[in-house]
Amino acid sequence: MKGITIEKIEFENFRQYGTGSLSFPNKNEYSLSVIIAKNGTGKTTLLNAITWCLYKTEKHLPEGKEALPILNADVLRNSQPYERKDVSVALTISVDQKMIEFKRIQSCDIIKNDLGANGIAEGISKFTVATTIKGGTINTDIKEAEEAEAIVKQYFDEDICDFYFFDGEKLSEFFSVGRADIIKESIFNISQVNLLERTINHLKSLKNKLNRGMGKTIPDLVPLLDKLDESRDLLDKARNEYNDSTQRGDNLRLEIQEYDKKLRRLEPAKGLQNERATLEKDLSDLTEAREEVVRNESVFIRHYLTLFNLYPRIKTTYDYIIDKQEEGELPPSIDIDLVKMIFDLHAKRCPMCNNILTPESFEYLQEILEENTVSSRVSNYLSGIRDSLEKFIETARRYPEEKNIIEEQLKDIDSRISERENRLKEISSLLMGYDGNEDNINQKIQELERCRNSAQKELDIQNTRRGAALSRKELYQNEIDRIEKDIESTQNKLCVHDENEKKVKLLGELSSLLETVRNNIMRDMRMEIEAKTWEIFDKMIWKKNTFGDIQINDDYTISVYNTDDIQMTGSLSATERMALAYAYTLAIHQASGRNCPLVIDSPLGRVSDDNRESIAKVLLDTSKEKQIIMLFTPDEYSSSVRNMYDKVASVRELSLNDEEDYVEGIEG
Amino acid sequence: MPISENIKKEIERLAVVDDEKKLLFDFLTLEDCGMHQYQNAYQKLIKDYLAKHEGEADKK
Repeated sequence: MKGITIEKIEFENFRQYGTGSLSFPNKNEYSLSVIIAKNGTGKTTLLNAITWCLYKTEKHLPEGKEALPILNADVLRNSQPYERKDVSVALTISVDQKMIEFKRIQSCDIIKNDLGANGIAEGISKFTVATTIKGGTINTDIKEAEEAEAIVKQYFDEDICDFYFFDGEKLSEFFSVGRADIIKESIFNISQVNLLERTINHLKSLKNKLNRGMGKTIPDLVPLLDKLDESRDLLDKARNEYNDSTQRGDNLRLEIQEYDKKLRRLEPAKGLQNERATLEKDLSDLTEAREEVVRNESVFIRHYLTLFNLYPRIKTTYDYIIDKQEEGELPPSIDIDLVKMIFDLHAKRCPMCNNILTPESFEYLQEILEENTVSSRVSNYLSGIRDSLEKFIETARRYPEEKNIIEEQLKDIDSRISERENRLKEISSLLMGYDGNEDNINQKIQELERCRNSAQKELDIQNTRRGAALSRKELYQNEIDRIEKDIESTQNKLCVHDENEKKVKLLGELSSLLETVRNNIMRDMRMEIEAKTWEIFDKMIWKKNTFGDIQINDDYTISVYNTDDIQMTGSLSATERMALAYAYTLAIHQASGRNCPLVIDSPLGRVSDDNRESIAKVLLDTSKEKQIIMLFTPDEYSSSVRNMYDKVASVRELSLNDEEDYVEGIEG
Repeated sequence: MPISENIKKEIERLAVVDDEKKLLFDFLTLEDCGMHQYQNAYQKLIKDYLAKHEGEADKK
């Protein structure tokens, strides 16, 4: 049983889809379509095309961002001013024996914007719903305006469209504050409890109208009817107050979301200001460091200037000493004092080896002494200055290296300075983009925070007021039920058998029967959703010894318990929250008896590897019962998911053409 | 939107005659179509039902 199935989506000049169509054929018992596209190719645009077609709003545009015109960029660029172009999206579904085409056409007039580029001015918009009965003679019924909107409400009620068309990556927001009421309302809508409620109220209201007419002839009824009127007035007041505080609360929530959005937008500005302060400090340190290097460079230059002035003489002297040494002209160094001592003491023995010196030895020593008295001094002196000269020459040789080091230091500092200066310019221009006056940003943040806090306080007040109104509503409703029973018993006692009495009796019976139906459905629904949520969640999560139970409370908040029966809803990981949101959504779909398709953008975007396969498996199994269209990025469509889906799903890859104006991979 | 299977099941389970079940479906269908002037339509359904079952209430 596949229920409502999206057969195809046709586009005309719609954003990057241009003109063409996408169909979603079933391969086998699974009704699963997979679209793989890189980010920025048009996955979310497909989701937006559906919501734009049905509700004239693209519900998944990035928050707070100005979107491009809805008209395809290439068509827009190549159009002439004042030309008129149509943009349309048609969604065809099949249900029971019917094919229904929802089609929205928006005419766009081409205009020149302030920058001289083409822009659009939206013109007439038309929405039609064409229903064709399958088989037999073709009989197409076309509805427009309110009648068409009513058909959309029947199949894809906008109030609950988050349950049909959603972004998997945003499922973690599913259980945020204030959502339980929306979920409850959505469940009542999906399960048609609201329809039962409306019918019961209308039956009762008609019954009371007839009663009032009868009251004229049955005096005992008059006080009861007056009391009933009084209680109804009070109930209306409580209901109005409830609705009013709910409405105000909703508005305040939106207001708070808007402040949060603005604050989030300003958050980068705060970051930029901090970054700028750090960069300015860096820049000042670097400028100081540069000055230090420049000072060192001056000292270095002065030092080498002197050295280089003396260098030719130093080098010549050094070369002279080396040449002399190499030629052996520099005599070896002799201890003249020792030789002198031998003569002075008239020693007969050598002081080194103690051998007796011969007269020949004395004569030789005498010759050495005469030859070396002056040369050894010169030799010692030259050897002494050679070392110093060597040091000077070595220093001079190191000049290019040391000069290079200083130049590198300067280059490095200059590059770091320029890097920081460029980033500072960038930051300045970014900050100007926030306000035009960056000094106001902090003030603006403070102001927004003040407004947000004040809205939050007001929201708390409205929540209290709403709670009180709800209690009064229940009180008066019970009072009305009691009075109605009294009226019925009075009527029975009086046994009035006129036509109105029969009608009143029948209306009473019917409303009471529908109340039974409503109460049973509400009870069964909650129990069924609870059981299904647990069943699906358990299949999706790899941890088998942690979770013990899931409870759906009367107000449709959800509680998860561990195996020790301790509540752990607040301790769920992001993936577990996502799995819980999936489980809850699928359970609501199953329990509602309304078999609508699911279109999910990034279905496994935030799912960790451990749970990826099990969540993918549950979605696959679900596609046996209802149509699922999933929009993946190539990374998200990992090998484990691919192995599971490729065999059974209709898989299509989308990409952009070279000019990035059109999506490739669609039909037509 | 067609009346949900759950509602159909619950109405089928009610211990009333088939015509009364059908009458309940008729009211729900009217509501589902977004009937603004419900009173006349409701009155007509009630009147037709009572006319068809004329005398049964008296017998009871």
